[in-house]
Amino acid sequence: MSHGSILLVEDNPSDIALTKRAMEKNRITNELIVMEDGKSALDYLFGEGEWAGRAPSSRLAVVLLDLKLPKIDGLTVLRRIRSDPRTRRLPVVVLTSSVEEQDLAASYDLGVNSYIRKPVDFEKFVDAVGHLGMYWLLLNELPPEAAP
Amino acid sequence: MTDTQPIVPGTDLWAGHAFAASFALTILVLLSWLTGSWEIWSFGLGYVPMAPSTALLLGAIAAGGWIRQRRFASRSANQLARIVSAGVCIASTVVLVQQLAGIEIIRLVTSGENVGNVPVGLISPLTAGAIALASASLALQTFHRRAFRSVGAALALGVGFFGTIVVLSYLLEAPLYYGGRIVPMALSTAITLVVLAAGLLLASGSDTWPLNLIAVADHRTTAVGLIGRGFLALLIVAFSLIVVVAVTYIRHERAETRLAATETISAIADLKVGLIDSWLAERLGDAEVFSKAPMRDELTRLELGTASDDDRRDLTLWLGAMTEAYGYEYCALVERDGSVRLAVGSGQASIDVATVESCHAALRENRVVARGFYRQPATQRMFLDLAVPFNDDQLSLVLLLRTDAEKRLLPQFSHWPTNSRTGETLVFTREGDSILFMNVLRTARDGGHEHLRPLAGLRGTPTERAVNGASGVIEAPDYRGNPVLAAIRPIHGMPWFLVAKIDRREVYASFRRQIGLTALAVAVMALAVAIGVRMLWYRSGLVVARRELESERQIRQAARNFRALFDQAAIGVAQIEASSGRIVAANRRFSEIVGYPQEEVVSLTADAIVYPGDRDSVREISRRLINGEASKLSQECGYVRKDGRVLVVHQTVSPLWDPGDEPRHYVVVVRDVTQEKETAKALETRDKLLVEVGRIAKVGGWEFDPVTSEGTWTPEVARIHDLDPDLGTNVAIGLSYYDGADREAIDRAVREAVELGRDYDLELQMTTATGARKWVHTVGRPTIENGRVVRVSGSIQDVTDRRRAEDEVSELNRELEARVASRTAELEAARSEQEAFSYSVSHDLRAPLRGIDGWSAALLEDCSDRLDEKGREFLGRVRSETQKMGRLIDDLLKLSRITRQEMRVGPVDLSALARSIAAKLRESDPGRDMQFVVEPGLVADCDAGLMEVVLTNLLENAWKFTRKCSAARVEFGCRVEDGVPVHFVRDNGAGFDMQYASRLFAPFQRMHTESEFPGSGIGLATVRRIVARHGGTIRAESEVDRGTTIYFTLGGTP
Repeated sequence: MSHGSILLVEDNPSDIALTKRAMEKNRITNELIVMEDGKSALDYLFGEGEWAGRAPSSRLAVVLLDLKLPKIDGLTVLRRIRSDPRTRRLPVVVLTSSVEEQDLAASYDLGVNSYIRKPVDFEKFVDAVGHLGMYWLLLNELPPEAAP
Repeated sequence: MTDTQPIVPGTDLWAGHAFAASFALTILVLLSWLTGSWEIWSFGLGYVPMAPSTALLLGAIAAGGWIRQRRFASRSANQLARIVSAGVCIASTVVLVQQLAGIEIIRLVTSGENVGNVPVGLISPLTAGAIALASASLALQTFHRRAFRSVGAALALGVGFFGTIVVLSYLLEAPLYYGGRIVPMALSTAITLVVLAAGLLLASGSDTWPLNLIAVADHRTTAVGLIGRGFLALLIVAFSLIVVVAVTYIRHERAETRLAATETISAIADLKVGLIDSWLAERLGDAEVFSKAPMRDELTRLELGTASDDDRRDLTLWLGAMTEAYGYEYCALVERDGSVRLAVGSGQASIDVATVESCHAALRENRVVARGFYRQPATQRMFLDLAVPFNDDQLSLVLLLRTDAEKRLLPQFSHWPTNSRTGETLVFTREGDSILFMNVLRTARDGGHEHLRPLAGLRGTPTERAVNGASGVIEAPDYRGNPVLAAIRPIHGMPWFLVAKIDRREVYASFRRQIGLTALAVAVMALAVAIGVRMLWYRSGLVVARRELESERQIRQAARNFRALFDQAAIGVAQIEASSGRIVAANRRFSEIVGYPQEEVVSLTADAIVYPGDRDSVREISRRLINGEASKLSQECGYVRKDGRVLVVHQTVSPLWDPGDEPRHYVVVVRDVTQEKETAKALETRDKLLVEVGRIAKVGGWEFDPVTSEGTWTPEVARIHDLDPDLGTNVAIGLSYYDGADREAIDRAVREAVELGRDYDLELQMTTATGARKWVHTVGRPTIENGRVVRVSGSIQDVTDRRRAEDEVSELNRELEARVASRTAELEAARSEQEAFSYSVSHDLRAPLRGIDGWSAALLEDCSDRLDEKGREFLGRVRSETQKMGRLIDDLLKLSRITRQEMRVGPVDLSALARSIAAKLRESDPGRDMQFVVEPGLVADCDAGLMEVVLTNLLENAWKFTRKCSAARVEFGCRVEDGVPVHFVRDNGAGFDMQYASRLFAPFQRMHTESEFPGSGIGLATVRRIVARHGGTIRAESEVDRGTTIYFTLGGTP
């Protein structure tokens, strides 16, 4: 299993807790970094604002991104990630409640790697997280380090 | 059968000629009898003349026929001919019977003279028979019945044929029945019979059988007549050829026969002469022997008168021996003075002067001198005397040897060497005015045995010719008058002649048979040719008749066509007689115009039809036409119909001229113009109406010529321009009331109309002559002929009022549009709100649900030890309700999304779609026994994605509700109702009570309990929405436990 961290961008504390729980249940021990709005997520990613001077060496294995976020919404976050050379190759998985077509289309248009809908049934949710971890942390090979 | 007697054209005339000619012949014959010059009718050839009785009978028939022919229509002439012919028929029959039976009923006058052995002036039974037939023919022809006349014509044909054969026999110099028991028919009779028969045949009528061969039934038409003449010529040529060939053949045969007979008779004559010669030579030879004088001494003594009795006896014995040995009748020793010294033989020892002369000659010339043959008057026998001088100068006795020639010679040559009944040899000499025959004439008519016949009675016979120096073979009548073929030979050394003759009758017997056969052959051939030609003629006549029928048909057709043209013409035509003014012909239209039936029109006069007030002008027209002022004149006048209604007609009158004559007829061509007049009036009214309407509607019409720019307008156009309607106008005037952009627009439109032929339709503003501003609607339409604009016409309408109203309307519209826009914005806002709501529902409502479920699960997992069974059960229910709500939310979102989703309509293979859905359903539960029936080839125009939702929902429902069925069957198909395809999904599952059907398609409405069949109640609502979005309808039919059928359309209402 990769040792890269997982960045979870999610504003709902219940979902955050449930996600953590699901990860635990799936024995995913990678560091989980949680950002509760789009702004802080971007700051974290680009070492700005609150996160100025953050060591860029800490590598991320995958970003789990909710779309409905305070301050800056998920699609904007995704666009910024994809438009910046430093984060362009970063695996981003949208993990959201919405199945609106426009959201799906926009996400894929912006270059998302996966789009997972959070099921209401917790067992299914655990399964989904498990599959995510298995895929992104175990099976997937990360891209080479992007040029700073 | 016809009772009239058709005559071949020309033949009646020829029949008359024939009768006249035969009549003339008989008159000539009678004249010759009266003048005693009948011999001219023997033609110098020894032929018999026509008997006077024959001439009378034939003349009567000819006269009867001639009169009948001349006075053809006369009943009395016919009667006369009938009586005459009947009389002749009876008379000739009586004659025939008495001739054949050998009894005498009528005393027939004869001249008492003979030609040959034929009594002159006696009617031949052949002639009598022929006359009987000819008179019967004439008698039959006096009846008009065709059958009778046919028989008569056939009789005439037979008579003519017989006469022709007789004439031919004469021409071939083998006249029939000459030399027989029967009196032959005279050549003149035969000729007259032929001519008479021809007349009878021609007079019998063309429809009778024999004449019908050479005539055609229908000779009225020239073409047939011409062809008929051609065939007649052909027939005559063919007959002539046949006759020429036959005659040539017969002549050749006759020449052959004659040659053979000549040779035979010559040979026989030579033979006979040879016999006589050799017999004489024999006699002379014998005499030479005697002249050697074997008993010289006794003879000398006898001469000197010194003979003893012994001498006399010896000499007598010698003479007697000679007489016996050589068959002499008489032997004598005669002195120079003729006295007999010694004689032996029969007592007719008369020695006449001629014999003494012979003895003298014998002594003088010292040779045997013959005297012979001569007839001894005492015995009437023929003798030959030989005076034999002895070969001794001392002796002046002559030995006289007398032979009975009749007895010794005649038997030798009287035998005829060939098998002949008439062969006869005559040996004769001239004796003064008579002929002395050695032999008794075998067939002398008088039966006498005279040797001597007067020369006068033998004139022309071979005998007479022989004594006059003729020799060789000749044909002539012999002493009996019978014509014979005779060979004449002189006998050497004597003034005697030999004639070997045979009757011509016998010579030509075989030849005559040949004539008979040839005549028969000729008759058969002639008949065959006649029939053949007749058939050809008939056929060509048929062709011609057919052609004529065709042309006649065409003429009739043309006449019919013309008649139809005349009758069907849409214009009235009548023909009026100039003299009476009566209508003689009128066509249907004419009778329709004047209102009389066609048959009544023809009895009307023109005056009866012409309106009284117009009669003078009509007469004036006739007068001018007669004066030749014009070839036709037209006028309008009134006609009075039969029903009294007065019409206005346009009539054109033209005269039918006969060259150089007054017109006999007028042709009047009439057109009923009443309607036109009324139409003109109506048009005027309509014109006024149009102007009035134009004024009211403020619409004017105009047109102008693009070349001259001059134009016309209706008064309303002037009024719109506030101009005087009476003034003229042109394009420039029309355009001068526009200005600015309007002027440019109208200028361009007019230019394009004129140059490009383009229509225009403009609404423009103008300033009128009085300065008023008006809106006008002006429309222009160019008329193009031969690719050139010849006229531009159009309308102009004052639309100021409408324009004003429109301005108001457009103001209102603008307001309305603004209102609609604001409403639309509101709606858009509402829709955005709904979107936002949906989004929130999907996102925000599900998050807490997920939380509830998640944490309930966490509670169950982490704190289960602190929860009792009941608590765990409750938590479980919390979780299941939460999940159910999640599904509800998902379905609701789906439903709302379907409403909002954009439709992409295209042809969709519904059958394939249904099959794939069915396959998925089967996969989800392979254990189920389910029969999916999908009708193939169902294609509809619809949104593929939405239709998948529809079919998925319906098929899933069917799948679901048939779960409890043993033999589940789901069917997808289509049927047509009222021309609209109606698709359906049918199952045989649980079904529902139709009482709740109305709620079936509303959201969250369920027909079954959750435990029975789980579901959200959104599916059918979704289906209905999709169907509605396609413009279709949906309905359900169901029965509990029997199944449900959902029907839906995609556009169109069933």
